[in-house]
Amino acid sequence: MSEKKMVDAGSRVALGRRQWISMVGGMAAAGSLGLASGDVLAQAPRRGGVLRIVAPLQPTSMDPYAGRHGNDHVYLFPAFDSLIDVDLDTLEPKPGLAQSWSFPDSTTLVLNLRPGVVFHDGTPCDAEAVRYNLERAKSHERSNVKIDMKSVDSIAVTGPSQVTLKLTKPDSVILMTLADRAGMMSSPTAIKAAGNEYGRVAVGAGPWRLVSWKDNEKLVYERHPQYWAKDVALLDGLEFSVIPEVNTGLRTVVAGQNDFVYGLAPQQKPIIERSGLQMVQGSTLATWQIYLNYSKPPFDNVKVRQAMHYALDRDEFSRLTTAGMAEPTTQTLPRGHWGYDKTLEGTYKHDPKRARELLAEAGYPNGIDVEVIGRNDQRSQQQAEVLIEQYRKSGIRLKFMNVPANELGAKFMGERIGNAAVSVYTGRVDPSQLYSIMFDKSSFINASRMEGAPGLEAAMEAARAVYDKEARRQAVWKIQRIVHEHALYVPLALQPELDAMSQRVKGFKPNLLGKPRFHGVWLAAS
Amino acid sequence: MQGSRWSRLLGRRLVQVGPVAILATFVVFALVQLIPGDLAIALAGEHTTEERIAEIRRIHGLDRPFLVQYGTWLWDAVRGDLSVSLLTGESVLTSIAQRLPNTLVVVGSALVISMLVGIPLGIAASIRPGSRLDGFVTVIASLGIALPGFWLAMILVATFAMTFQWFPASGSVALTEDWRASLRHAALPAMALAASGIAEVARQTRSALLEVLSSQYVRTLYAKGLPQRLVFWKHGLKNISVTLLTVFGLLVNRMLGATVVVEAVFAIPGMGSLIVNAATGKDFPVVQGVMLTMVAIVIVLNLLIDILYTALDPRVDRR
Amino acid sequence: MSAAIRALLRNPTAALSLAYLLLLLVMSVAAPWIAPHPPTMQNAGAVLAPPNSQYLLGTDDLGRDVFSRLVHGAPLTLSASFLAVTVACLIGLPLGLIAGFVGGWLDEALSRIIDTLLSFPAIVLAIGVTGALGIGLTNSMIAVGLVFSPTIARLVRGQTLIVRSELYVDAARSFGASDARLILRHVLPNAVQPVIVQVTLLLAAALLAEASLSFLGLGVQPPQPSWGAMLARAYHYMEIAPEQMYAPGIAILLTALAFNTLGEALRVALDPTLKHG
Repeated sequence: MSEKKMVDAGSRVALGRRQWISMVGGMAAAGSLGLASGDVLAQAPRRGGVLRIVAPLQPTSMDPYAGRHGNDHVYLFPAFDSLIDVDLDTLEPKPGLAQSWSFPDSTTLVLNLRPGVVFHDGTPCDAEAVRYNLERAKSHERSNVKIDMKSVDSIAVTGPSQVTLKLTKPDSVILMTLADRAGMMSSPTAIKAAGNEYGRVAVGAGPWRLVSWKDNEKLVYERHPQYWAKDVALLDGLEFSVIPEVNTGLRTVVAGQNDFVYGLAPQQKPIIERSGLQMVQGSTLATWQIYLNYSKPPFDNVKVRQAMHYALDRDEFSRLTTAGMAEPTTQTLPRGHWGYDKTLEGTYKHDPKRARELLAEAGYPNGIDVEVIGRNDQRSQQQAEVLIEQYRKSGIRLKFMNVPANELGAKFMGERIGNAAVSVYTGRVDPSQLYSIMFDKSSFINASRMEGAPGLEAAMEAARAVYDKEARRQAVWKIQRIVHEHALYVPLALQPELDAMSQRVKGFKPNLLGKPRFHGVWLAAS
Repeated sequence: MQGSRWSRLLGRRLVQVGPVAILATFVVFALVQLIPGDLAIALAGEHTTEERIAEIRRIHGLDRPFLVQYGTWLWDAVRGDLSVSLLTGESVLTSIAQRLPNTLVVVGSALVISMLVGIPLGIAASIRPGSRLDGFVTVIASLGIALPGFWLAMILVATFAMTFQWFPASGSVALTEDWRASLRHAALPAMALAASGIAEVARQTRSALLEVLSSQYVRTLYAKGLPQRLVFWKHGLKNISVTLLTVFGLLVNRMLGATVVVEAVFAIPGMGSLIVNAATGKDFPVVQGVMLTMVAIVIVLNLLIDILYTALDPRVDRR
Repeated sequence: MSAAIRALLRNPTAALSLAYLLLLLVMSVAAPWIAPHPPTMQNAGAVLAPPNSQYLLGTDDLGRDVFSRLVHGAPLTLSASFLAVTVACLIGLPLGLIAGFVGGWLDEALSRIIDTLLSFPAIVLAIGVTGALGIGLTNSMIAVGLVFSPTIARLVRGQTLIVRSELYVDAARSFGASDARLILRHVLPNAVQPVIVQVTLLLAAALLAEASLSFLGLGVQPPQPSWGAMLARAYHYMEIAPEQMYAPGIAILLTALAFNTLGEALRVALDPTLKHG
């Protein structure tokens, strides 16, 4: 290999390092909400090509109802259409498999299905198929979406393309529920044929169908010829390669072995820019946060919980761990979301002195010792190190007990060990869902298993009972303010989405879900 | 040897190995059962309820007594049913069948490199003990054993994959798909593993040869006037074949372990990464399947080596 | 014994290794005084800095002084290795003694168990046990100790058998001496020397095991700075700052090398078949 290439490689690294250092030091601009760069001249989208995608994990199950992990959606979106779709820019509901719906009264939802939709195996997606799926969501033993379907009392076929749901009480979240896993329709024929193995099969009505699944290696999809919408499945097929290590995945895209990689760490931004790939960056709903167990000391005292906010320097946290790419936040919704509350900006500013005062007022003049459950991957360990140092300055001594990511829930929320946990919450499309999952007395995620503040349950109920958009916004703000004032948890920052792709990939837009969708994406001719 | 002697030998070895194999399965099974905390909760997912957890416990038979679970598992395993992964639902046997070849390509290459480089080094050192060459080989051997395998792997990636770009930095290709690409992907990981292998082989070759060459038997041959080279090659090497077989067995065991960390550095979808993910995810059918496979490989290989000993050196007939 | 020690010290590499290990020990004890900075102090303004007057070996991804972290990592790494080896002896010594001394079916059974444990690839068994006990430095070192114990047990058993066969002759003459006395007076002193050699070699292996387990995220937990954990972080930053991997890697290499060299030299020095003049 030539001297020049060696020098190039070396200077690439040096340049990358300089850029990183200045970003962490706060000197360089942290990076824009960039969209894909590329040709200024608009090219016409063309059909054809197979997009090779790198994913960090394989799906926990290809049965939308049985999966457990937020990453599954990347695999589910291509194969499954949901009854209700979501506008990725505004996060509002729009027609999916149901081309229209109505609420004749506050506890009835009528869905009018799109006619002529066919599953990958030829079974028609009609009212009976939808009824079968929703019943399964509600009652099947392996269904993990039962809790989402709790407000549905009955499902009835009221026409060849019409399904009517009766709700136990008014529930505006039902639309978003049907836009997520619970609303992803599978072919009843395939479910009956596969039985318990359906999780490996995945027969939906989405733009691509799953052709093969080689465990922890590759998943291959092919265009569904009878997909109902035009100009969505422009790609002939998708090939997902499972590469758990992000550096490795990026390298394969640089080398041309793959076309697209998502979920990159901020540490890789300098590399992407130097290697001639397209870079796409955006904010997501996924929030890094500190969960608190307020059913026992010291977090049973609201002043102590507020101290946890004041002791934090969110900006430094974001700079050190992501070179400023993560949006620091005191509420869980990103700017631009319909539920974002501007009045909460600037609250809980970094103030160690105030934190110490609050602790003293709460009866802890010598500070507190907190047992924290954390994740044991490198990124989380780095976050833990930053947090330990920051909190130490306010007399809050964090002691971490780290476990693999999938055990954190079991330990902190199941066995209810520890006072706090640091993890990422992948977020729900509807704020009501988010809050009820986090703060409902009976929710598994609520390690405290109790109402966190007076009026919270009532506020959450109220938000679900209204359908009008503005009324909902006010109701959601009310919940936010209660949670915020009572400091029921400590959001740190919003996880940034960083994707890299070859110059050939066109039409990709990031979304707040942080889970890439390939509808409308096309490959330019090489 | 006559046929009946072979079968007696084989029978005897099998009787020795049998209890060890069964004990190994018991150890594998018992390990995972001792995990504190609740497996059912880990399986239930992000948002769940107490009823759902109890359901899961029932479905997977997690509430039956320990020996019953072990017995059922063993009985199934003997008939070829290693159950399915608790996390992905795929048959454990299939997962192992897919990943084992990737590990074997790397470990196999590492073994070949270790023997091909280590033996000549050991021989060269023993021909002139105390010489500079001997000192050099000793130093290499010491370094090789003290070197952390994954650190060497990182250095190899940084140098040969990132700076020089001679080899791919990660991943693997099936041997049957494209043998050239497969070997290119396996090259760096195999080198990382082979470092300690070369060291061990060189050391053992050298000391075994020195021992043989200074033995009464060989000294007598020299005294009789036989040329040094003839004695060396004919008698020296033949007698160290036993040592070489022992080292080979040791290396297989060691490398199957070391491959875990090396596979992590190179993101190779092999047995190593399978068991790390499964162990941290409490996916006990997979953990058991992988440990069982690795132990089986080691036991079978050592059995073969034992038999080869006796074939090569009839004097060695251990209990 | 003293002749053996003198022979040992005359060997230059052995003497060097011993000196290095003693230096490391001193550094471990005096870490808070030797390290110029606290190992956990972060500095966003000086991230990934090259070596300079303020930071002898530069800084890491959070602006922490690499040299200070190495120094503070020494006691952690060393005590982890010692813990593992202690556990190995606590389990292996009694098992080996019983197997060798009592003999019969107990010996058969224990030997089978030892063989079984030895047929597992070491790290794989350690990962399994650590997964069962729970992640953490202590737990993972207990797991490593468990994995090493068969080696000690087998060694001690062998020594016990040797002594026991000699003792039969003695026992025939000195009737009435209790087993415990025989073990204490005769078996242990003879077993000690090979065990010391093996322990030294196992210390090197334990060091490497700790590094591997911490690299996989199963060992040390933040903010403790073990050398293995420093390597794991360096791997994470390999694209941006590949030089981060050298300091902790070299530390591990040198220490493992020192233990190994010392162990080998001890083996030669304590070998009764070689004469020391």
